[in-house]
Amino acid sequence: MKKALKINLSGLVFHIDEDAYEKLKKYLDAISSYFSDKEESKEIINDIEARIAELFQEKTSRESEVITADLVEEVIEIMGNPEDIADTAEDAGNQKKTGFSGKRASRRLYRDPEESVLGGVCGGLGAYFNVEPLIFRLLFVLLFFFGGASILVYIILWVVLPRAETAAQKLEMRGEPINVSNIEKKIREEYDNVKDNAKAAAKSDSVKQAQKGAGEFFTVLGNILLVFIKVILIILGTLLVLAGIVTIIAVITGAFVGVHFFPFGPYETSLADILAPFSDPASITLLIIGLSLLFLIPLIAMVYGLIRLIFKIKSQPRGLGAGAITLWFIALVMSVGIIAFESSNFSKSGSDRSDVKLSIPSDTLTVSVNATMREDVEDFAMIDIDDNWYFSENMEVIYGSVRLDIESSGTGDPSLEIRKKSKGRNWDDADENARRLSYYFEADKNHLVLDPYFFIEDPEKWRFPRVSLKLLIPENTVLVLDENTRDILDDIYNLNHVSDWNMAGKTWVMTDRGLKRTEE
Amino acid sequence: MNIENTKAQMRKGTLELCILAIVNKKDSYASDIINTLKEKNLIVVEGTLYPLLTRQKNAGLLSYRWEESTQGPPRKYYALTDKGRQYFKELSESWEDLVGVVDSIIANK
Repeated sequence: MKKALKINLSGLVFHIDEDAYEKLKKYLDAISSYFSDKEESKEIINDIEARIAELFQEKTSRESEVITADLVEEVIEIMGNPEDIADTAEDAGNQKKTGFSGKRASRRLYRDPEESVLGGVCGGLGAYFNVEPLIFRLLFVLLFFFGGASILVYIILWVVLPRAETAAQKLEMRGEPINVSNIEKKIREEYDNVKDNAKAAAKSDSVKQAQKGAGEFFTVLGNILLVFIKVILIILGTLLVLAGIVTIIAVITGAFVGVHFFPFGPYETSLADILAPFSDPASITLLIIGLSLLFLIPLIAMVYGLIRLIFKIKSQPRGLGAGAITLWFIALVMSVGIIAFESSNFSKSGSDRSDVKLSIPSDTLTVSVNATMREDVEDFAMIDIDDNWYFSENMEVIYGSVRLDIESSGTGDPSLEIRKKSKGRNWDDADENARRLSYYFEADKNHLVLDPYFFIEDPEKWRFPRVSLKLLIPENTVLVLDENTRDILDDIYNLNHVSDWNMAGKTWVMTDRGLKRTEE
Repeated sequence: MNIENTKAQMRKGTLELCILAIVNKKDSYASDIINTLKEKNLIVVEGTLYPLLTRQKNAGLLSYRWEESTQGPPRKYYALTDKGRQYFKELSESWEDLVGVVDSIIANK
């Protein structure tokens, strides 16, 4: 059983086997490919079709007889092969197709309609020099950004170079000898392309129809507009690609090498440095790799896709997309896993409390802050998180601000309560982390000098550490708050309703209802 | 040198003149011309004729009209234009000269 098609040859309807149809179509295409003049080629083909119709009619006895491949072959024999048909045309005085005089295997510069982004200039150049058209496209685009003259060169080439339309011209463009077998090969390639994508062919046909209907003027106008839009899209696309590449480089350097963060200090800081306090270096490295891939894969995919679009790269390494998606998911799982695991280090709270008795010889206590330490930390700290934590330059010590509250101890002895708090994987871990926080102060007779910061010497163990102080003083004690205590005072209740900020630098007395300003 | 090739070249060179001659005698359609040429062994395959006809028509030597046919599609009947007749006259004169010259050269040998 064979599939048969119905064809219209010069106004007559024939039933034809599918293989016979393909043979006939190839034959006619081959003939038309030899003629550069579209009108002329159409006319010749019409005449030849009419003759073939006649021959079919003569050679089939009944009206419904199906045309077989053998019959097509017989008719082709009668009509002659495409090369002979074109050959007579050459002898008839048409010399424009021969190109160069002489017999050397010529190679001519054409525009390649099959390899075109805009006008096919780069495709033609590529075919002529036997290099990837991509190289010329990159050259044109790069030169465009370095001055813009290349666009002019492109337009000139576009205007000057003829389009390689016939199979013979396409062979000439690639410098392949123009003979029957090559032409047939070329035609077969094109034919197979069309057959593989029948829909595309139908579409382009309808486009052609539409163009015909719209008239020459609008076609030209439309084409100019289309090219204009294409040029703009290419420029935009190239800018996007450049932006993408810059972002990729930024992500990589930010994650691994380090960037100069102006506000934080004179040193280059990478994501690894920033994350250093939260966990051990191995997990952080893994996390950074994971996060980087999470960002880089879509970025690179975007840039790659754009480049493919702009430069019309058709080939794609097998499995590249699937590989990228898999890698991205691995990166996602890895990042989420590490973050989940690491954040469990912050899940529980723990504390460590110590009370230190103070012996004050008289009933006056002066409280001040260790100014040297404050200066040191503020001068040399590298990263300052939320005004709360400071990292030493070499990232070996973390300093944290302390907070001071002041309450009455009633009739009891004065004391300083130091409450250290931290997070941890579990209660014990959290308590242990709290215990590792170091805090020092100096009590010298009537003078209490508090360090403004506690510190941890093991920055990997940063688990939201906090230290709060509570100074308990008996009633009637006179309290002198030095001006420099301003930053550590935290929500201290006082009868004068003075804010923390304004309590420093003043003298207070503890009454049975709370702190009260002394009259001066 | 290939004798068949040389013969083919000779035939080809005269083909244009022959077409004009056939059409000059009687307005003809493509198949008429083909049959005449085939009979005289001037062409081997039919397809070669069509580009010639089209080029001659485009050069203004031939004109054509459509005529209904009792069998099959309408036929293109070719006729000589004034320019074609002039062209034919010149070509046939040049042919006679050529035949004379060639004959005399061959005879002298």
